[in-house]
Amino acid sequence: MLQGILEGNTDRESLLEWINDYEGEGITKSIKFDENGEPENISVWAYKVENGEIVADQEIETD
Amino acid sequence: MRFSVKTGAPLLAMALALTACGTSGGDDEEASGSGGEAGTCEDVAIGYFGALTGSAANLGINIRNGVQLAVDQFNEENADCQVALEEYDSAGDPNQATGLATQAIGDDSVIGIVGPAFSGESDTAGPIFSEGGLPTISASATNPDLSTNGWDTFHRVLGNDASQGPAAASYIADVLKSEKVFVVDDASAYGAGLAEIVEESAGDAVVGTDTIQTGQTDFSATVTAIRSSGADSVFFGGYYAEAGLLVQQMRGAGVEATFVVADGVKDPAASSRPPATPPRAPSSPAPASPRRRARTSTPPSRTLSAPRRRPTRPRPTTLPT
Repeated sequence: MLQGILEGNTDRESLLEWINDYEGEGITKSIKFDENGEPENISVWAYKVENGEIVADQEIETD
Repeated sequence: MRFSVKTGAPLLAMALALTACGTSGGDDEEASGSGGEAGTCEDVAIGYFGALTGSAANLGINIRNGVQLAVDQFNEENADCQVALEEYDSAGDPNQATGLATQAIGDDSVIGIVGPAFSGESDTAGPIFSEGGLPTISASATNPDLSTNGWDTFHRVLGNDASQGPAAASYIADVLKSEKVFVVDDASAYGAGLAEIVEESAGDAVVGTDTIQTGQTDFSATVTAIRSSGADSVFFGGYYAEAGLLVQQMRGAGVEATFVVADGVKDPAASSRPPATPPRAPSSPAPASPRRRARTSTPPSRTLSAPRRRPTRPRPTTLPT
């Protein structure tokens, strides 16, 4: 949204259009929305609590 | 994703299945656009919409802090394009969300919303945002139906429960090798929807189900049902406040079934000791939405101000997302 604003999309209509066309790298994956607003890339990770700490376990395959 | 969490809590055999969140990045590309758009950013704001108070507030506070950080960094780098951040604290309550969404629509300076954070409030606020043409991007609302209402403004950056639910079921079956699953939900749009998908995905392995309520603190009936079922794993669809109490009461009753949850529980508060006072129900009144200019940076302590952790317990150094 901030990037879209910087590019001059400073009203709701143009920012919405900009978001719908967005494609870019986030921190954990690339982001692009489908026509319903769902992310095109999905990953699901399992974490477990060990000695009171939440630690990454493994990625879970999704279909 | 790296993070470090220290809650000093006793070991819980608790596994969490969730989607790694993404963000709309573009951090390094901004330089090329700066300078040429002077004046066009006047009186422009984005909003954070979700719980900052209430029993599941930590989940929303983490998101708000992320938005605050992004806005602060943006404003520092773009002196001629200052963006404000508005906060809409719904307390996670679907009933409060409608009034707040209307309020956001009425503020012409607000042109984008990060949120709503939870599924229930997304469901009630979504039509209002759609009607007002205000684009939203949720970092956490996972009810699958939210994207099928024809709201042009709806977006989210994580997999919905139609991906998380089957993933949790496959983790229970393939990794935990559990053949007896007990499924509990909290009757919320999020928890009940997710639990239903897990239940369907787990199929014949489901040996029992139960429904609790948000704000409930005594889960002895549920624990008894779990014990009677002989389950070796329990899936809970809901939020961390109830999850923490439920798993503690299970362990207190000697029920050692592996406790499996999703991202509504991925907060250190779930695995720390419960609060001295019962969690507040999501229906607690929300304070008026504060109007803060984004240039005011959030004190670092806000990230760590988990409101219901005992002061003597170590604080998390970083909250996972």
